[in-house]
Amino acid sequence: MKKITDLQFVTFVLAGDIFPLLCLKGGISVMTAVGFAAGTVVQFLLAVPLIILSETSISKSRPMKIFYSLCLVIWGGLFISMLWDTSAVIYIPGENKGIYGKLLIAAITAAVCVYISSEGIKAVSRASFIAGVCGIICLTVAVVSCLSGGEWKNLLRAETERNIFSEITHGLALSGGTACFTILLNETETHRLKRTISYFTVKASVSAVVLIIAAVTAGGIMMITKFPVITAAQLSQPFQSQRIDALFLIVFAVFAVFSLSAQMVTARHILNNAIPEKILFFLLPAAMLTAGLILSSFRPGQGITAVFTVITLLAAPADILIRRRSKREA
Amino acid sequence: MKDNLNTELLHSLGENLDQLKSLSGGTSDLLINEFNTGGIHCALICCEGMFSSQTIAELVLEPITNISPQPDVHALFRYIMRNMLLSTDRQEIFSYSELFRFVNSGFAVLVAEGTGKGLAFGVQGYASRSVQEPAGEGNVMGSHEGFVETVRTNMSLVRRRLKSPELVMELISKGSKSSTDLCICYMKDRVPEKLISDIRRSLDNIRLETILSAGYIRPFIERKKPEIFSSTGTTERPDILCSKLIEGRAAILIDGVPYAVIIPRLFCESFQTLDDYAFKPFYAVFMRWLKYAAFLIAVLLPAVYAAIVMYHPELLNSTLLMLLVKAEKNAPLSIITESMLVLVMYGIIREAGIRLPKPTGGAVSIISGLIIGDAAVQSGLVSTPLLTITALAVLSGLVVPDLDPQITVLRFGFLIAGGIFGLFGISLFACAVLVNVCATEDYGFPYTAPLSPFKTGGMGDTLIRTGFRKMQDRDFTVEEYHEENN
Repeated sequence: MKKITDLQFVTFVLAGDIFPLLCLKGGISVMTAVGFAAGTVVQFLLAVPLIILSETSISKSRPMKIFYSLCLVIWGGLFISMLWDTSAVIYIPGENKGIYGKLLIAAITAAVCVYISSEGIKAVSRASFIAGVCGIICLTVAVVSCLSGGEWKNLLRAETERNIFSEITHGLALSGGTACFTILLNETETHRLKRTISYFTVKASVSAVVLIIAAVTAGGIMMITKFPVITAAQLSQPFQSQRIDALFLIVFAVFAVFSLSAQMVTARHILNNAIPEKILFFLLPAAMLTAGLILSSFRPGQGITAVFTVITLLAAPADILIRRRSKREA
Repeated sequence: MKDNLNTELLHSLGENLDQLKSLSGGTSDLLINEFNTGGIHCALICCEGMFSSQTIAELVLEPITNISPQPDVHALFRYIMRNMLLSTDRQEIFSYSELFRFVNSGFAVLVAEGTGKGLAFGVQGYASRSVQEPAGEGNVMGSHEGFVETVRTNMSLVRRRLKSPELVMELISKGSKSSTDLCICYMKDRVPEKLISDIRRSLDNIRLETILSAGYIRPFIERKKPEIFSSTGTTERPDILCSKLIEGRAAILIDGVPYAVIIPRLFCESFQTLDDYAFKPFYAVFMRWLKYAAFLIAVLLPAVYAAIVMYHPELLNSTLLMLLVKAEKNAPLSIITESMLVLVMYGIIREAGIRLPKPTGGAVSIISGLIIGDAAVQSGLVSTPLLTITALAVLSGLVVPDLDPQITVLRFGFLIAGGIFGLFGISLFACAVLVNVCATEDYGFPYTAPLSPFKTGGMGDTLIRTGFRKMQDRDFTVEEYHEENN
């Protein structure tokens, strides 16, 4: 992974964290932003063993290969189910034709992701960086719009029923980039600490900014809105037009595609030698679509997803420790 | 036949000439002049129309026929080689294939009785186009010279601008039937050695019979995977080629083609012109950003228009919305069909304009502009806003002529995506295109550099255009962008 620059690494992994943030449900307050930042710190601490211990590629250990492939498929499925969830508030032409419409949109998105993932990690990470820069520009516009016309008292008014611990769990549960981060960091030979710090710093900062903007903009109607970040994007009007929220659809779609592609391309990367390329071509999107269908019916609770994130971060170093020990005993 | 061509020249002049006539099938343009000089029976072979009559008469025929008697043919050839400067470009040849290659390139070849070799003298003088202003790469402040079809003239155009001994021009021949001269140009102190060896290896894979345009060799020096954008570029301007060579790139000049192929090519270079460096930086920066905007308008405007009008009218303010509703209400076709129709119409008119004989060009303008354009709007077949949008998109595409093929196709792609799935479709298609562009890479040079991978140093000539005082200190070569070096 030395061919991916630090910035590309950060944006590639971050796509998987930003998309769930855009699809965030429930109330947002300053507490949420603090909880997410604290959750990021917890993740950083959990990543320390990975930074210290990782020395062999995950793609060389069969159990880890299976485990992380499953993680990536599950996260891919979660992203697809989030895309379906948001259809109530985001207008995508064709999606309102019942289950077929939803499947059509998911299949088209998956097809684009299949093509994108076929170009390899290097190409996707380069593209993620450019998409990330565009995302930052959009975020800046949102911040400027918020600073000029936002009602800051909303920040104090916005309330959630959750305490700091449940917000930390919430933050951990919405870390869609964890599997990609673990796999790619494990294969990074140098700058491991630098990459980890950069990733978690950017993640905490972007999450905090997005959440604060959402709280300021949608604070007044927080309790009646299902997707506060999307509502905030719909409410903020930086330009002279009737409504600007359709433009948010572009950012939303780009992050949806890149978050799903990141999972797919990373899964292809670790399964490359185990399963023929042509089978992977069909298997991964099919598995993610199936996972999406299942997860949209039986969405796991935040606690379970948070534990899943923790296990994802600790599995690779644990595997290394176990193998070292068995080697010593042998 | 091929085996006979590769055989060595015979010692008997008569047999040699018979063999030549047999191999050439008695072609009328092969001129064989037999004469005696220095007491030896010789023949001067050349190809009609390929040599300069004046040069051959003054520099070869006149001196060569006045040689004093020589003991044998070897002494005669030695005398000619050592004592006579008949031509600055001369070679010894030993086979029929070499003989034909030189004769067909405008050389005069001397063969004699009793030796299995010949002497070739460069007396080229074939008809060729003079150096003119390039038609496709307009320029206000820079040179007005463009490449021509003769590779040696093109080599001299480059050499005149780069007098450094570091400039290397390697001539090779490709095409089993055409034996086209290719000239690999590079600055040996700037270019990565691996790039040159990789290019040579790529060119070795060419097994074509002829090379008639740059498009014949570009697929061999580019990646095999399907790419929308090309990682090699072309230029018909010697000054631009020199600027690329100085930056450590390599180029290939092809005989018969007034373009040079540049390797590697970056996306951002499509927006740079020589005029950017002739004007003040503030103006150059303004023009460059205008070109970036024009590219986006050219590719996206019809698609965004269709998507907004069909699916996201809330993006428009009420005045504009009412205006568009009024215009589109009268149009009999759907917006996407209308857009496709106008774009296809433009494509046909454009192609007709290129292919038609010059005298009928005016008729095309009248038919396209007045009859089709005006009549389409008057009859209500096409709405005025849509025609305006399409015209603006097409005009914007002409601002970046380098990317015209890509713009033309992508415009259709985005229009279909936007027409079916609105902004969501445009976003999905944009992601796919973006990744395709980012995957474009040849010889380790990413097409999207210096944007991704991000190079701060490269921004000085990408996002802005810094002054020459700063640029001269930078000493930039394209190797900075090579991925394996970073």
